[in-house]
Amino acid sequence: MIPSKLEVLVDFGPTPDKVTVEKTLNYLNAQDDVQQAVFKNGAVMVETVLPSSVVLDMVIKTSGKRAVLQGYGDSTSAVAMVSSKCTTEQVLGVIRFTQTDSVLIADGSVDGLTPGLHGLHVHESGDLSMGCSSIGDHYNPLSSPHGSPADPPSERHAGDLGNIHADEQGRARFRIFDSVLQIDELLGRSVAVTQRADDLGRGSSPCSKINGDSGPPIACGVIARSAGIFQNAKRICACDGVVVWDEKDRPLAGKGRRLKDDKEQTGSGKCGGKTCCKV
Amino acid sequence: MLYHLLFLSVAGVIVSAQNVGNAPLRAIVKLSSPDGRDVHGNITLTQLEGRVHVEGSIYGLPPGQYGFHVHETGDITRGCISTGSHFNPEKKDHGHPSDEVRHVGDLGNVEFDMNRFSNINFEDKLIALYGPHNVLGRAIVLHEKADDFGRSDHPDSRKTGNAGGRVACGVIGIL
Repeated sequence: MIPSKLEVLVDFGPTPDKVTVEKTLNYLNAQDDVQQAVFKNGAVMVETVLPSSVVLDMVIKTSGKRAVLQGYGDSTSAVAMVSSKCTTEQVLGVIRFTQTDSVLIADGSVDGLTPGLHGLHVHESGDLSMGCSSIGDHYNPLSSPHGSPADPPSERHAGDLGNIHADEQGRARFRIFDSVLQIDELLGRSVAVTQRADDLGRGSSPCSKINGDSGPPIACGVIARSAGIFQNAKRICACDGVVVWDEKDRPLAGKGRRLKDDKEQTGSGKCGGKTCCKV
Repeated sequence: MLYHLLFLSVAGVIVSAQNVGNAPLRAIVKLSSPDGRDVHGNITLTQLEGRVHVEGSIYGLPPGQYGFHVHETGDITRGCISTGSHFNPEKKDHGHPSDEVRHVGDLGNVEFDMNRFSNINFEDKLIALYGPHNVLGRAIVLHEKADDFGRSDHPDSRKTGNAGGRVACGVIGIL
């Protein structure tokens, strides 16, 4: 497992209470999956193999303070806020990307999904003018068939990131390594979560070699440049507050939030590649 | 010899085709308000030779001028505020789009009419869809006030044009 560096800004106030800071650091450092946690330049720096959302939750629970992820990764990093515009459901999440020498890391938390597997793909375009229906096909510079992330580049789309797993609460948290995609080619494209599981090109459906028979994208977002650790000089804006899915340990969207069950999604494309809803 | 020439020309076609594939010539931004205000629009950016054509429309603000900038990141996880400062790779002061001294992201003001519409149609020589001034993956931000182009006495004038808060934003994506 390759660790990532996280810069977590905690609302410790103008004079941080040493006891609270120590308690937070001790808790983090006691975790097997945390390599190191230190307090530096007013932020909690964590080196870990855990998904960033898990670390954020730990910091918030232990410190009792508000916290946001200020920087991610120590080289180029990117972030996509994925959402659905559907009125019948609300899928929301944040997916972060950072490049290491050997792999690209995709680190995310997505709420509001039906429990089980959902495909995760990078699409060629970042055009959200018609929601997730205008983001084009899977990013596929080599014109390969659809496949598994474990397949060689000639047998997968570069954008094929496999599946993510949503728990009973409808939340998927993941940290995926990919050796084919490079962060520089992602910027301005989009990432989408699909309605169903991706069969990784192994199914019998004619859509298997196109999109893994994974149905239409139900949430998507443009992959944007973001700040790595200590690249963002700005601290928390007083007018800003904390993003909702960072401050809660219950899913922002999901069971009980959905107006009705989202089983009846109708994809209009041949492989259900079109949007989940009218825009 | 003929074979070599043929080979070179075929290789040349492949290289140029790849260049087009790798350097997208058009981009699009879907602007929206994270605060739920009814402000929205689509804007396209087309790379021309040495300039970018910016075109589209935005709905939702009262008549007047409003600051319109490319910001450094496209991080909208905390709303428009997390997009950072104006895109300023050359570390210059804030200015008017036609100024020598300006941020690359300084696109000036956009004007809204009586029907709360703003029709946008201009060209800019500094932003680009490739290279060091590449705006792909960054954000376009619409502000709540007019940009004073760094010409007023306000302390923020040379930093931000004193254009106030951020009303709507969107990530510049490949079209």
